Amino acid sequence: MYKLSIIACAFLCFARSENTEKATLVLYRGREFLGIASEIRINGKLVANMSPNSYLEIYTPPGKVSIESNMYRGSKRVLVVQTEPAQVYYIQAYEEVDFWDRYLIMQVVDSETAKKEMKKCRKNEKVKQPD
Amino acid sequence: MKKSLFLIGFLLMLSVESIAQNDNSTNLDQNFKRGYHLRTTGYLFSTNLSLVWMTNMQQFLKPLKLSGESQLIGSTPFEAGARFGDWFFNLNTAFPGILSDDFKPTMTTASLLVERTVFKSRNYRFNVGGGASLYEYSLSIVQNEPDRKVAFQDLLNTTFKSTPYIYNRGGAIEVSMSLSNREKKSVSIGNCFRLGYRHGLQGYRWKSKSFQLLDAPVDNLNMLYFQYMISISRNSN
Repeated sequence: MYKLSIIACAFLCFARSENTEKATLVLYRGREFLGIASEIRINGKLVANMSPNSYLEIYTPPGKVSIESNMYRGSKRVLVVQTEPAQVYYIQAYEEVDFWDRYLIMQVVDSETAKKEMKKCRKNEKVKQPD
Repeated sequence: MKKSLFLIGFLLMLSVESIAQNDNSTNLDQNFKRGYHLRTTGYLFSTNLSLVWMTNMQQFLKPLKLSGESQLIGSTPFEAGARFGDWFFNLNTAFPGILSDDFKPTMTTASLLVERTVFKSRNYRFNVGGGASLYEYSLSIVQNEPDRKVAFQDLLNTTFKSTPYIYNRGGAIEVSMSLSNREKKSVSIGNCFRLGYRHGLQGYRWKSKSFQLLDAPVDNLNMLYFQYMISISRNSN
C-alpha cells in the first residue's frame, strides 16, 4: 500500500510537471444557431471534432502552434499562436456562413472575456492530445 | 387549425421583442439597418413547390386518375422587397413551371408579404409573416389518341378529347415562415427558404376563357408551398 502511494505520488508529480511545462490552449465556441461541427488540427494532427457550445483543452509544447479548422463543405482556416510554457491561451471560435463558403473564425481573447462566454459551454472530453 | 395558424403567426409578430435573441457570436462588423433585395430561383428549375387542395375539382379528376387528394405543382418564384430593420416587405410572384403532356395544372400567384425577424444569429434570420395574394389555378385535360389520323386541313373542324384551359381565380391570405442568410456586406448574396400556407378568401367558381362554363363547381383554395430562392441584396445604414 505504501509503495503504491509512492508510485501514485510520483506519477501525479510527473504528470503535473509535464502539464506545467506545456502551454494550454482553450478553444471554445458559443451557442450558434444551425452551427455545424468543425475538425480541429493542432500542428497538422487531428485532435477533435468541435461542435457549437463546447470547448477543448489542448496541451501543446511551447512555441509556434498552428490551429487549423476544417468544416464540411467549407474551407480551412489557420490561426498561429506563439505559446510559452505554463501559459493558458483562450481562443474564441465561431462559424461564418455566406453563400459561397462556411468556415471557422478563430481569435485569441483575454481570459476574463473567455470565462464569461464559456460559462454554459460543455467540455469536449474526446480530445486526442498532440504529442 | 387555420385560425390557430394565423393567430400564432400574428402573436409571434407582435411579441418579437421578448423572444428575439442573439447567439454568442452575433456581433457583426456592420449592422445594416435597411436594404432592398431581389430573389429568384437559383438553378434554372422550379424551386416553388405547391401542394394544392381544390376538393371539388379533385373529386372530378380522380376517376380519370389525373389527381389524388392534392396536386403537387412546380413553379418559378420571383420576389422583390425592402427591409427596414427586422421588417421585410416583399412582392412575391410564382410563374408556372414545366408542363406535363396529359394534364397541365398551373398555379400563378402574386403576393404582398410582410415578414418580421423573430430570431437572428450571426449567420441567419428566421422570419414569420403574413400577407394577401391573388392566385390563378388553371388546368386543361388532354386525352391522347395516338392511333387517330387527322388531316391537316381538318385541324380546326375536328373535335379532340381535350378541354380548353379552365381556371379558378381569386384572392387568398397566407402565413409564412422563412429562413435566410444574414446580410453582411453592402451587396450580399444569400439563400432564402420559405414555407407557407395560403387559404382562399372564399370559394371561387371554375371558369373558362373560351366559353361560358355552366354549373361549374366552386372551390376554396388550400395550399401549402415551399420556396427556395437566391437573394441578392443591397444594404445600407
